[in-house]
Amino acid sequence: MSILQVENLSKHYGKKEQLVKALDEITFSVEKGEFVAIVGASGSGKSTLLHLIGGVDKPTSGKITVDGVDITSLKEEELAKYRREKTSIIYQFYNLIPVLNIRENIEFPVLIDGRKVDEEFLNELIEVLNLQNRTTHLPNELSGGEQQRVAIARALLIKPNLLLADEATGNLDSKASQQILELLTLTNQKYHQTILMVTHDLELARYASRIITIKDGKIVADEKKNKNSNESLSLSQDKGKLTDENAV
Amino acid sequence: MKTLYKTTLRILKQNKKRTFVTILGVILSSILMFGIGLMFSTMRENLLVEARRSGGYQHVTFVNMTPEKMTAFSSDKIDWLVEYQTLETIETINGIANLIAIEDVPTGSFELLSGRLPKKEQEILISSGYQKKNHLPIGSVMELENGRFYQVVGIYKESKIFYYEEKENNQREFFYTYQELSGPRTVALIYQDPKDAYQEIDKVAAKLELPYEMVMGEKQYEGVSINGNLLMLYGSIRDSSKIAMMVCLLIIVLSIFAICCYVVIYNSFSISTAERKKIYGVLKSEGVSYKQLVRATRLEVLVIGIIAISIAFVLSLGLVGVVLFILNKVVHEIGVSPFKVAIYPLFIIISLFFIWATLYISAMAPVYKTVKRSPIELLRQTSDIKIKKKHKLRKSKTKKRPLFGVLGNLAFKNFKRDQKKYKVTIVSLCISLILFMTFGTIIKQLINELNSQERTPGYQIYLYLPYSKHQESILNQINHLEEIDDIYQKQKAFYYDDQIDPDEREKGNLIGIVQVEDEVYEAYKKELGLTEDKIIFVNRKPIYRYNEEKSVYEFVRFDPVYPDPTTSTINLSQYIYPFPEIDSDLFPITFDNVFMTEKLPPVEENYTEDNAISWNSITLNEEQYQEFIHTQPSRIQEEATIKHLFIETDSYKKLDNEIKDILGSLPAEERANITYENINMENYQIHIMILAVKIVLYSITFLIGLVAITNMVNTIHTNMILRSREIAVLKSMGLSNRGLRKMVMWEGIYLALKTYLWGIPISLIIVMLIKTFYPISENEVFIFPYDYLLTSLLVIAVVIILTIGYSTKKIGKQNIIETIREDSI
Repeated sequence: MSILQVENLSKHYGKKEQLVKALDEITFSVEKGEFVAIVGASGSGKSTLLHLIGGVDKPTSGKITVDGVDITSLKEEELAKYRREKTSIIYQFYNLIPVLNIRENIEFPVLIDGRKVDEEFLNELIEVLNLQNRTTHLPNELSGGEQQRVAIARALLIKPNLLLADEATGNLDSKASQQILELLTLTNQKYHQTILMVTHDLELARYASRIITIKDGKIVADEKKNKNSNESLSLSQDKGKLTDENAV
Repeated sequence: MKTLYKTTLRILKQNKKRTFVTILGVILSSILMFGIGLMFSTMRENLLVEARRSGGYQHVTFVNMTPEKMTAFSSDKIDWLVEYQTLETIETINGIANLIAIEDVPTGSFELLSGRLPKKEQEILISSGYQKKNHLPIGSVMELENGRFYQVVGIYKESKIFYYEEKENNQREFFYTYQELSGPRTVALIYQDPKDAYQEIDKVAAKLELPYEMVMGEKQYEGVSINGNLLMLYGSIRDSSKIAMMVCLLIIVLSIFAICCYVVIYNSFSISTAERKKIYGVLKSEGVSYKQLVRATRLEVLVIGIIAISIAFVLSLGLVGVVLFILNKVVHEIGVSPFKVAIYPLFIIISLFFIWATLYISAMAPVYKTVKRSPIELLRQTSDIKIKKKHKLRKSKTKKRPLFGVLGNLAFKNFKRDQKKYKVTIVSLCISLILFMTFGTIIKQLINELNSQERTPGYQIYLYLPYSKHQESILNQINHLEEIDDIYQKQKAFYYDDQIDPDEREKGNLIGIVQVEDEVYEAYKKELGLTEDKIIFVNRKPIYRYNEEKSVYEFVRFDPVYPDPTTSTINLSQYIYPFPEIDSDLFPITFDNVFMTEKLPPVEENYTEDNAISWNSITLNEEQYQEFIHTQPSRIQEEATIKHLFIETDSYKKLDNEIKDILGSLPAEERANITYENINMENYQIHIMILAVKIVLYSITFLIGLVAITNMVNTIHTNMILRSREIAVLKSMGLSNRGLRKMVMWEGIYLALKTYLWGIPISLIIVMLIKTFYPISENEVFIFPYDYLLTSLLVIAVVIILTIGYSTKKIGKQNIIETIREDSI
């Protein structure tokens, strides 16, 4: 069953001679429980796609259906409700609330929705994400990796239909990045969480079960990974980041 | 450095909105302080006019100076010196005139409208006002009361010798003629520098060996009249501590307002600095030093200061001009001379100094703090990670639901975090609240004081007409005036009550002998149920009498011991205090056929003033009164012929002009003995004064309020803008616009509460201090300015709500992801 359907989605900036097509009539769908990596060079439109799906930006045209609801037709209040109930976004720069401690940061989206916090699940998340000794700290007292783990916990607590990660490891060292990806994988496997992850790092993209490649606002490749091999990826000899020269 | 200056100016140009808001803050603050300087200047100018009006232009006058003594006046510090003699005082149609003889007229003594100065003894110089009233052109001949004829050779508009101002009803005129002076004359002087005046006067007095006495620490020479008020306004006072006191007063006032302005300007620059932290970070990371950044900011302050202060000066002139224009329209009705905007350099310079000092200190303070930080801190716009020990190994607390909800809790934490930013605004709001309450308290007491002077005695006009050959004619003319609705006439023969302590007069009174008109007497009789004419004794208050046994004066209720009070004789000898020069044994004060009552004559029942109400009086009709008066000494008879008129009218203004015209036709001496009170006119003047007080004080209060509101709006709005990214993150997590409004409204509530928490107690303390030290008379009650308190609290709340509402609406429309990504460079 598709949890996400994107149909002819476009996002344009500017007009006439200055027209920039960040996304150009993209169509795809995502099944429940999939871990999808969206890769592409800088400026390819991958983050724009994620933001449109996350409801934090509006498309120029097209349709996005999440769990049967066309989010492109939602009003502002309904969209806010969608953002706190159906999706969560993990940003590159964590974006924690500086005045709330870690526990409060994690609970925040649930509480503003007027719901009661699932304490058991919360404690489980804290344990899984190894934040037990940090719950009363403020964000500026944590390292980057710890902050990102908090962001993940916050994203997961609401049990969203879609978890969106926008360059979630972009600000972390390799070790921390690896840890985060392992956590995301664990989340996907343990909680059957549907994840869309944007990255330009092919190494990290390998954690996903499906890789969608975007170039110049269009999908140029969409490959489901065989669990046992890495054949679906075309990597240049220069492993690591996907550049304009070696993008597929 | 040139590049850095260019960059600084470019940043100012690029951030037009922010620069405009900063300039606006400086303009408003400068207007406030310039306004104070201009008001002081204007006040000084008007006091100068009043000083000249009462004491003339001269600094000092020496009388009875013989020609031999004139050598004492040789000094190069004298700017103007005139010798004159007052030949005589003449009565003219318009009033009193002095004929002044001058031999040598120093330059600048007169401003002539036409003609020339007198050169011969039969020539005369008259004022423009006198010339207009009496139609005396140049060359005409006028005869004075002394029988002499003078030819008008000149008409003056202004005179330095005796202050002259052309007015409709000038009471005193000065004519000047030529005469060779011999014998003692009066010498009037003006020194080049008023500050030398006292020293020079002392020198002259020493040369002339003038005797003096010390009065309140100052030498007062015999025959020397110093125009102290005028000299003081020029900054010349014997006692230098008085000058210091005046300058201190101005400095204190400016300092208080400077504090208010400091927080406004500090806030504006602080916000501007906060927005440019990243720029500072980039500049520092590129190698710009701390000192260079400070110098660049000084340039910014200079540019903003020059623009803002210039605009502010012009605007403050305009504003003060408008206030004075309105004030003049109001006070013109009560004959007060118009106020003119005046620029006294010293006061303006003091104001300017305060403005620059405030601007520099408040602008540089936030910059010093910011640019000291490391480049990376400025770039990140955060401080380095700090681990607080107290957080180590703390157990998670059990979950408690926040008292005001999640958003209220978040708002409180945001407010706590931003306390430093809000501190300046809170201080500014508190100061404004305190100033507003202070002014409000003073306004209320002043207005209450003025209101208490208002009288409503039951009649509108009172006239005290002593006997003269014109008395009957005046009465006749007045009785025929159409605007009079009713007129009550009394004659009184009473004994002066100046032996009664004024503080005791409420306890009781003396007995008066009063004659009312026959018409009134008949109506009175009817009301009392009398069938025949009786001596009506109105006995309403204790009477002041001399107790021979105890040798003291005391107040007692008159209680004649007789069986039938309506038919008895009463002897008032103990109860009437005679004139000191008259022996009470000389005249009879026994009345037969007396009817005693507490009721007043019908007309007086609605009257409230002592001179109208017959508290304790023997009330007689015309015949009875004449009979009584003829038995009295002439002194009493004279007093008995005084007519007291109590006039009721709706057209008190028109009647005022008509009665004044009637009285104006009388000889000056006779006119001087008449007392005329137009009570409604006086009340009207009080209302005008109240209005004038309100105009001035409300203008200042309005400006204070405007400064505070601008500051508040600036801080709140900018704080919201600076938090756009943070708010966008919250929105990305699902915070709706309504939720955002709720959260921000809570922040507004905390801001308002904190302001009230500090502002209200301090304001109340100030109000209590004013209550303690303000001179309130016994009859008056201190009025607490509840309305000012409520108004200020309401305004603060409303402005916060409106600003937050506006800011939230603006932020609500922003695109979430663009705001999150936004770079401020």
